[in-house]
Amino acid sequence: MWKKISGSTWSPWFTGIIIAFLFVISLYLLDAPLGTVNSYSKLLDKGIEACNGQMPVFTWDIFFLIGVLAGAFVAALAGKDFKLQLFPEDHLSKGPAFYLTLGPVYSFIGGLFVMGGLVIAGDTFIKLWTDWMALYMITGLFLIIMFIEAVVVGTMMTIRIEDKKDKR
Amino acid sequence: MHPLYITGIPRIIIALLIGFILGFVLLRSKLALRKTLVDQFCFKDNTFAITVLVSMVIGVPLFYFFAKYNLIRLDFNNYQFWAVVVGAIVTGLGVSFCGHIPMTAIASLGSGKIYSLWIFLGMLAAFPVLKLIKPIVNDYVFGKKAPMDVNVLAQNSVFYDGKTTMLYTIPAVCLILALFLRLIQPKGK
Repeated sequence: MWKKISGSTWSPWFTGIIIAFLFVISLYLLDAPLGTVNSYSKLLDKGIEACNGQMPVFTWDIFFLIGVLAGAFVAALAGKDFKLQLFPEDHLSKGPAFYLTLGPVYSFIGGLFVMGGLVIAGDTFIKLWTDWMALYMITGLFLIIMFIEAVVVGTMMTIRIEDKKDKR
Repeated sequence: MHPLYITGIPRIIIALLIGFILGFVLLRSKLALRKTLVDQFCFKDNTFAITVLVSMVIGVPLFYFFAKYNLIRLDFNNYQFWAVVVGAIVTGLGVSFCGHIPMTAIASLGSGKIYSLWIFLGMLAAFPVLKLIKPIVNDYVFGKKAPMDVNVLAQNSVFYDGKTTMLYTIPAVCLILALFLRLIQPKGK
């Protein structure tokens, strides 16, 4: 049973059902949404405290993030997928001039934009996703705009890469 | 009936456990992989969209009944129309650059993808950067007059006044979309 759970890739249908139940159960048990912007903000504050030599006191939302990290680690080990990777495969295919210089900058800026956008919008992706399940339509608008824009930009970037490959 | 609102050490243990399950699910379903999200935006692999849509199909009635019987308390943020629109545009740009949302970046890091650390650091750096540009954001985003008060709209939504049309329509539309995306999914995914 454990081998079957940990060794196979779960279908998106099964995953969607589990995620819906997980969100609603967490709201029932904790009376608070998961993965809010506060967790990340607190994590940064606690990190600064630790750097200043103070003993940081972790709250439940930081433990949630630690849980995600641990869950992914165990899942990767159990499924024999754990592999230390310094660069993403699509960056590696563009050569060292890209993955050693621009690649990490792209990743950093991407992360900055993702979190910046989410903070401006009001909360993290999971909170917006949860609110959409409660039919808060404005969060649906967020997801639709984000998806369409990412599709447009993502397609443009793919076309550019494939054009370069053709020219070679 | 009311939410349990567990406090103290049990709250920490439950948060840790829920996080653990979510991390496990994200990795086993391959949602934590950068490739899944990047491929989604080129429609090479529709796993991410199908997962979100199926979660809506199940989640909308689930949230409705849990809220109806006071098992959960729906506490919405104070969203603002233009902030949501601008936020979505900025996030969409970021996602197409790095191929992650905050939760998948952490899960990806846990599975040994060290490059996700750059993304995670970028996400943490967003807080001081936003503090720096706060006056500009306040003037041009939060200060802009919204075409509608979305929070009043939410308070009058189906969960509060008992109108249930959307309760059936949205899950049905999501299910049809999910089936369509499964249909156009390239073989072997």
